[in-house]
Amino acid sequence: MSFNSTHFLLFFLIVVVAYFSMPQRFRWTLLLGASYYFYMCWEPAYALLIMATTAISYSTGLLMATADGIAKKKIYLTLCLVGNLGLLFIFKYFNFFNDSLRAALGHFNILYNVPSIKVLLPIGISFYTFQTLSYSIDVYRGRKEAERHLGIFALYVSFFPQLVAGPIERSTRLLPQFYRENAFDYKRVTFGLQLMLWGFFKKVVIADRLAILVNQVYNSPTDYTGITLIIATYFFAFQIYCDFSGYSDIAIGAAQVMGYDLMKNFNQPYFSRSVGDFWKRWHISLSTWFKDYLYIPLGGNRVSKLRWHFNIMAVFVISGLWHGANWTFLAWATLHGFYLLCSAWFRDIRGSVAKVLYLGKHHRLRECLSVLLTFHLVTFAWIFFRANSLSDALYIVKHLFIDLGYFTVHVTELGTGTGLIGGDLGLARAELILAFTLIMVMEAIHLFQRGGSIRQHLSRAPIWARWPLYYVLIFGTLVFGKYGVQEFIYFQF
Amino acid sequence: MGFKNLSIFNSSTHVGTSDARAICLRFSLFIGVFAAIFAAFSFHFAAITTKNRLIYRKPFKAFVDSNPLVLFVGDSHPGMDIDPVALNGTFFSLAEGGTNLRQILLRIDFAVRKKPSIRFVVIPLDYHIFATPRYINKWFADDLYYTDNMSLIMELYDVSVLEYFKQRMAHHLPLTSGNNWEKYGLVVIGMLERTLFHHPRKMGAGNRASNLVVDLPIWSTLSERQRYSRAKRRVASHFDPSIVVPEMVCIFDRLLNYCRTHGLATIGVMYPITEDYIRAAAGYDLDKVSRIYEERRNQFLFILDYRQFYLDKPQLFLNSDHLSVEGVRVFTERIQEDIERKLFK
Repeated sequence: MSFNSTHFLLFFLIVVVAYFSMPQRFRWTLLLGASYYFYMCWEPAYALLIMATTAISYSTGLLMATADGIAKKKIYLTLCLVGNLGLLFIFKYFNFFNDSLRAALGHFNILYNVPSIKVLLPIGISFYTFQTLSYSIDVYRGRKEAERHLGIFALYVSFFPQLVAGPIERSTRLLPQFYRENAFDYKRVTFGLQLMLWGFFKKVVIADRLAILVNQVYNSPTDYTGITLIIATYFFAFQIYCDFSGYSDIAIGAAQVMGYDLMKNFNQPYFSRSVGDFWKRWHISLSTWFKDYLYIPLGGNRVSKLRWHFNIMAVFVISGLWHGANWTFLAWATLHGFYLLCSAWFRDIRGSVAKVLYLGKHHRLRECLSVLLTFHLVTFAWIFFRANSLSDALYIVKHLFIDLGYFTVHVTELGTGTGLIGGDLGLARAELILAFTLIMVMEAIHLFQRGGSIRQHLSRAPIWARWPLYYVLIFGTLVFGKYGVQEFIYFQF
Repeated sequence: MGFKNLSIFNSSTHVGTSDARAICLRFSLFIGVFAAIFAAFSFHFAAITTKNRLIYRKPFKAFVDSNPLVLFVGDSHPGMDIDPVALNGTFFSLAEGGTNLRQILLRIDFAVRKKPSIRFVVIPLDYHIFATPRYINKWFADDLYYTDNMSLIMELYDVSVLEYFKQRMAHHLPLTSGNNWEKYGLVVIGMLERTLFHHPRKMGAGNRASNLVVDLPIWSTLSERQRYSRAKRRVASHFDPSIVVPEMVCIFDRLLNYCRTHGLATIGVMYPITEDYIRAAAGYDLDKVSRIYEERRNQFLFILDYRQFYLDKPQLFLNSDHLSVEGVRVFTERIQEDIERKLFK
């Protein structure tokens, strides 16, 4: 059951009405049942996986709580890590490593016959595995008491708004909220619904519109060169943002309607002034997870320079693998790690260049240039993320600027379906203009939001000013939405 | 359960006294205005799609008034490649772009009920009719314009009661479905396109039900690279991810069985495609489809294979697998002659 389906809207309406109609002590049963139903709509059998993850983390958590001595705790934590990561490995990575090993050994004429596993990747497995791991590590470190209520713990693992694509919540934040009594709060409900509506708009109107062109070009990149590849890459940068932040908005909004606060997952990432800043604003729940549970335990930056470089690259390589068992994700993540290292290596040079260009006196200009540069670095890396294979990605990189002069002169032919440049892009000219306009409007809204939350502004406005905006957004989504074009991108992780 | 911060006509959302009634009123007002706007959109949608609906229903009405012996069914291949106006009284076409095997069976069922005099049915035997893209299309709301055979629909589409209800609803109130909103959006953007860029509306040769702009140059005017790249995409949209879905083969058997039990002789036709299409499809398991037809060859009165008929005439094509206006003229004549010769001479 995808968020952008009538099935979900109906489901959510029923859950919310039932939720506020029942006493607090029974609400967890409703949410747990609803969460499992939500997940089983994709593939009922995979509910067993969540149950297994829940059972492993719950039992090892309790064992850690009662264990005397750090050695025993360590054993239980290891058991938990092996169990959870083992499931993740089997379902997500086994075939990748197996095929890679077979190919590598094949080069040396060594016969390797371990067959691939024919299994569908369980949706959201990386998300709920990391969420339960954070719980177990927190219990091990003594930051969190072990949860004794199995039902509440199972709900923490499977809470439907954030089950399949996050935000990856920490037990210290989310678990206590399931014990809190949430009365119906009109303001909170409207805030949640507003956020959901904005999320739907971003997903259905912007992301899925851009997806048409991106899929067309990236699924057969060798048919295109020059500006068409560039446009598809820019579009993908905004597609993935609208897709994933749209999902996060719907998730956070849905939880907010019922009284739960999920963590913010995006903070205007394309306004970042450096790649480091980008990772503080993009998929925040994952980047902070890696910081807290991998980067800092590895020593963070309080180690030798060489070790720090290793730590950075290790975190990014693992983050790439987290996204998917594919060399393209590894290349994407490695490139980001490389960006960060370069940014540290060339810090002095950048300072000197800024001085020479008098940028120190023009803060705004310097900020704009930094934002532009960061955006382009990030967008360039997206090529590797989106391409179907490394060879496709390399083709795109090599052909980005081919015949750029010719294409620029003939740019008006884009979307006409005729001529070299107007080759079938999947979107006609009016659609292309609409897509560009929507991106501009969204970024303008982001700029406006720097002066304060739009929802806060709205809440102070009278009905006659608010409601027309709601209707415009609702019917705008309906009229200009694209339905069934593409599942949420992060569902595959 | 508690209600906090409600008051219907207060300007702020965070207001006054706890009042469940106020929220109900505010909610009702919101829904009321929503319903009014929805109704306005529905009227507008109905107005701009009236022509389409009439065009869609027209062949079914015309069929009732006609007296054909041979019925063409299928998707855009017979739908666009055969000009219904140029067919003589022996023939009639109920073919329409995008039609899948389920809809073909529904149309044959409609035809048999309305005109028991029908003797022959011409069924397309193209490579893509068992593939996933045709399988996943389970939208039957538009079929309710001509059929009320619910039991057959439920069997063929294997849908839940909820889905059936949704589509029934979409048939009466089109904008309750995302599909129709998307169609609405396309029409609006199409209008925008024509206003902004002064594009004349062009129609495909025989594509009588389509209201979309078909803005394609004749196939032969494209470069070889453009032709191949377009053919590749076309083929992918026909075959990916699976060229044969077993359920579609079952429906095909069911269709043949239906024809047999209702005394209809079946004629198989493989429609013309370009060399680029054949080249682009080479990577797919076309033999798998051919075997399906081969195993059922004796269930057809005869099979006409036009796939390679115009390979050396790209000027007769509009795209990799549809004929141009000139191609339609030539092919419509040809297929009538061939069928008549085989049947009656």
